[in-house]
Amino acid sequence: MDNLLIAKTKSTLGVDFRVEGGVLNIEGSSYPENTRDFFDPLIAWINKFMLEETAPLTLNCKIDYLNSSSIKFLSDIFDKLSNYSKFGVGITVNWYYKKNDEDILEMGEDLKEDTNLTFNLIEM
Amino acid sequence: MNTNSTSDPDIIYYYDGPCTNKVIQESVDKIRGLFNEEMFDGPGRRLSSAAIEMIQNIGFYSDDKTVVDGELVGIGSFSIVNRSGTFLIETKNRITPDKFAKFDQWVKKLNSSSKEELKQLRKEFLKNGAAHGSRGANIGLLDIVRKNGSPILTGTENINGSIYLIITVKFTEE
Repeated sequence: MDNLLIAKTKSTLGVDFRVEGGVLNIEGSSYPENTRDFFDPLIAWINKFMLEETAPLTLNCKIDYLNSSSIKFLSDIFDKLSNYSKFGVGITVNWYYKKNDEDILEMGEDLKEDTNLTFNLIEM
Repeated sequence: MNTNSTSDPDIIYYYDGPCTNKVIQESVDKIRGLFNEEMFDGPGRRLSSAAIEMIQNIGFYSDDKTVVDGELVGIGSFSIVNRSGTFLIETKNRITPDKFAKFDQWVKKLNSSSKEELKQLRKEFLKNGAAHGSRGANIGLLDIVRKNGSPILTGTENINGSIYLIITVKFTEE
């Protein structure tokens, strides 16, 4: 299984998913013209990881902005990870936000509320 | 495309044309330029988030469309107005009467919902919701009302027999 690396653009997230260590980093803004085209490879990678690997997984999110369809896809990723965690695999989400950025904090709080994952809200 | 058509001296950004991602990026850059970094993380981000959703809605749903770089893109106009720290975003695009009726009903529901009701509605859409398609999750306008606390105003204009949807959202710097 290969790592998944996607360079950040103004409207799409930077993605750095590493098989070794199970560390997944996403950062930046997401308002692609076609959200499904962007997120499908991420979801496929996570599905493959869950089938082939048993290592704990850490998802680090440093988000500037997500449009509504990106929030939906990210929420679906959290649902997948929640299901994966039921098999006893340790999964941690680290959600980073800037001190004055209430919107990103609130977005993290909303996502945290809807998941049983270990979900840390971390001020940068 | 017209980015300068304005008779209102308070207009800080105006655009009329196909609403591509490039246009969204330009408007976000413009909004970012209005705030220092600390303020951008507060009101600036709320304003730019709303602008992105509203411009993207034109691109997705306007009934006037054109092809840009091989993609079908909606055409419409939007403006950002700054009246002494109160910002208005207004969008305008062609819409069919039946679509307007549905849209208006949706906005009325959002405007009349409490913060808690909006939160529950949002959860429903994220879990079961509309369309896991690439064209939004039905929570864009919902989040604008929820975060902004003021209603979305809608109206129509009849131009040469076509109906144009006008959406206005107001923000204050606090």
